[in-house]
Amino acid sequence: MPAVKKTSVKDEKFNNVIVTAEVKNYSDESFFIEKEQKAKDFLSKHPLPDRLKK
Amino acid sequence: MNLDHYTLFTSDFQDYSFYSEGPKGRIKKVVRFRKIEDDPITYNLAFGDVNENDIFSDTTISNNGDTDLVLSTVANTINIFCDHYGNHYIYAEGRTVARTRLYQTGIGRLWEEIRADFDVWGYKDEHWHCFTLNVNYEAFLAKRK
Repeated sequence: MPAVKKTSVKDEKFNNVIVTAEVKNYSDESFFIEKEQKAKDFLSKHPLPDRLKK
Repeated sequence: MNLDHYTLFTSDFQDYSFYSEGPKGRIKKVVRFRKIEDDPITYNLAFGDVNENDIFSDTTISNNGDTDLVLSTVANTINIFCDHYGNHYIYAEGRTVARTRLYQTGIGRLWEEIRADFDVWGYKDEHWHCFTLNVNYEAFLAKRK
């Protein structure tokens, strides 16, 4: 789990970003699960070649 | 890159929501980043609408007259996400060809701002290429410089 920078209630660097205490748990996560699996499958078949990595 | 954007709500800087406002009303949009690869570290960007029953869709066309503002809001989430989680690869593709074209159009419209801060690649004809305007890609990768 990457370290998350501590942020105050209002992010000072970016306008119009409101940090809420609420953690939204959606009842149906299948939308995201499907998209993430599809992305994993695509990248496993088509990884970015080293020559393009910077 | 700090483009005009809708007010974003987040609790952890991985999940964002905002509201598109226009002739069709107030439409909730969500953007979610999740790690899908460890080497190199790559996050998937999922973007879609969510209705009052928490049902997601990335195939509906909102036609709310604010496409540019919606796309610049999504672009801003990438920047904010990188600020908190690091400059890793961000992968995005649309569920449909039309949706992928929409992403491509959005990158194109914001290209001058995006290219200043990000390297962007597009997948086409079985290869990844450095992003070029007016080329149709199947998927995208971006990494903040």
